[in-house]
Amino acid sequence: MGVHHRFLSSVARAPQAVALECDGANLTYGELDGLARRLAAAIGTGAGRTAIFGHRTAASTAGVLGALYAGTSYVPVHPGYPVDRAREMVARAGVRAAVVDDGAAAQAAEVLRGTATVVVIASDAALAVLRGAGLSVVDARDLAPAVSVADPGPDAEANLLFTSGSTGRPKGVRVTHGNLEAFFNAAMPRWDLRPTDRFSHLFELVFDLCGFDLFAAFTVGGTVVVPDRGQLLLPGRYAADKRLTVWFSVPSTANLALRQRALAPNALPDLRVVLFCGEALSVDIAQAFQLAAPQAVVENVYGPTEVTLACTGHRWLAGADPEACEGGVVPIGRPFEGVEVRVVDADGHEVAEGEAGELALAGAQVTPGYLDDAAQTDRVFVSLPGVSGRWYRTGDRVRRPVGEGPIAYLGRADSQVQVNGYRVEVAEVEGALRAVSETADATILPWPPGVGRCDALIGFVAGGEPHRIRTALATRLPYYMVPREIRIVDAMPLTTNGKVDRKALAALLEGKG
Amino acid sequence: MTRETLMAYLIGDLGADPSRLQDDTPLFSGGMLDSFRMIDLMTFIEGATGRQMDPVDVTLDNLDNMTSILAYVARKGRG
Repeated sequence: MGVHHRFLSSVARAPQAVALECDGANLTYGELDGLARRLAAAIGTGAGRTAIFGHRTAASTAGVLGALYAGTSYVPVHPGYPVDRAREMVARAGVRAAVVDDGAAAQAAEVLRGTATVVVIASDAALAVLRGAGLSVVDARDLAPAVSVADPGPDAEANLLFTSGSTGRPKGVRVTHGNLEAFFNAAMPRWDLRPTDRFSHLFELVFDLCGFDLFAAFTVGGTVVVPDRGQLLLPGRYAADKRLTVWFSVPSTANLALRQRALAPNALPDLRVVLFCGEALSVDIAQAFQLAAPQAVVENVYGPTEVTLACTGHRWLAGADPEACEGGVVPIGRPFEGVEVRVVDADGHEVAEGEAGELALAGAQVTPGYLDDAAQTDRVFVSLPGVSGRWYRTGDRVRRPVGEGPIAYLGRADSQVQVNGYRVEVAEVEGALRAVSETADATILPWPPGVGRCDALIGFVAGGEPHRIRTALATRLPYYMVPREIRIVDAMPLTTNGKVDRKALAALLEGKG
Repeated sequence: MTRETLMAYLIGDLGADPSRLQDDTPLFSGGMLDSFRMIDLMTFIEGATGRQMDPVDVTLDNLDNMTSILAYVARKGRG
């Protein structure tokens, strides 16, 4: 088995069904399978890892499948990553091949320069850019489709996903086929998904939640509807115009649609399933979305990358719920089948019912740990006193429910924050800000303040030139980690304890109005 | 709303890059401003026209560059 066999089953069942709507063109299951088999032939059979440069294209989607067909794990590289960061990821992952789409060809040429990576393309545009860079390029269109497809065991790695690391070094989360199978087996029965469903594709490939966009659709033989750049800017309009039936996004995307006035009552009548994940879901967003999509089941699901996609869920019941939502945030609910939860104190002991603590998770969705980082792995993948199993300590603060009630989400125990749904370690951004501004006084404030989420980061430094600092940061950090604004202060305000006075900094921002 | 007040707002409040900002520069689709800045811009436009933007008017055709923003405001502006 392997997660790609979900796609192959649908290919066998209905090869003429549309798998991907992209750039105004339709790609059937049979066509996508054919492209994936050519890419697999170019990658070559065997273990190892394949980088995917690009996203939301036929080539990158077929690249994911082709990488898995070949028996490799796929490593998505975001087109917006600075070259040095992408180069470090590719080197640490030790990729032996890379599938590159047109939009990412220039980036891939720079990142892969001087490496022995087999560069796989399937278009004239990508070919022209990459041949010119002196790389060993294989045009998958010249090859016969691979006949056999890898049949990996549950412990084989399916993908490697890099997330922000507080030490300044991105962490590579290794996800196995067994982890993904455990997720889909537990999650799919929750929602009545069908071959006629039209799935949103709002998550980028580097996000683990993208695995749902693709493989939930592929499991049922539905259609992944790829948004273009304009539709990403106007997500509510995308859902309405494209008549989506399944919506899956971070709450920030829904918030954008709400504030763009795209969530009027019954504005999205085709939606049947609405799922939110990746950051705290506020009650007002859940309510607005339910009104806009009155036919839809609305569910808040929760899960860190380290516990494969999602592992708890809470179904929103309009009218009944708001008073049960602590702090105006929808609970993360109850664990999926096969997931064990425990709310623990600093020593790992379970807290009493109704008390707050850190959420720990166990079960078949728990990933093996971080790439080449045993110390970090051992710090968060632990055993707990008085209970068996391997547990992941999430760093998320929750309230242990009384009885069978839903788990309430309270925020982060550390400085991690979701910036419009992107998981960011504030400490990593502060470290980069200190380095580029050459000052010891650098503070990042998530803005506006919320439960573990924000719209943007604002940087404060004592000295320097804002534009130069932002430009320098953009060469080190992915764009979503670059502060929207750099404020220069004469000196960092301090509390009486000598810590940075974040409240005083927040007051500066509020003063602007 | 004049071209100058719009430009001052885009640069001073939304952080548009003055060295690249032309009348036809794609503000959002070109990546100069993120999508949440579109919300701020909508509020600014509503202040100028004195009325709420109709949901069907929230499009890139109306909001993606200075020329189209000014044309939209002129169309919807106070009598």
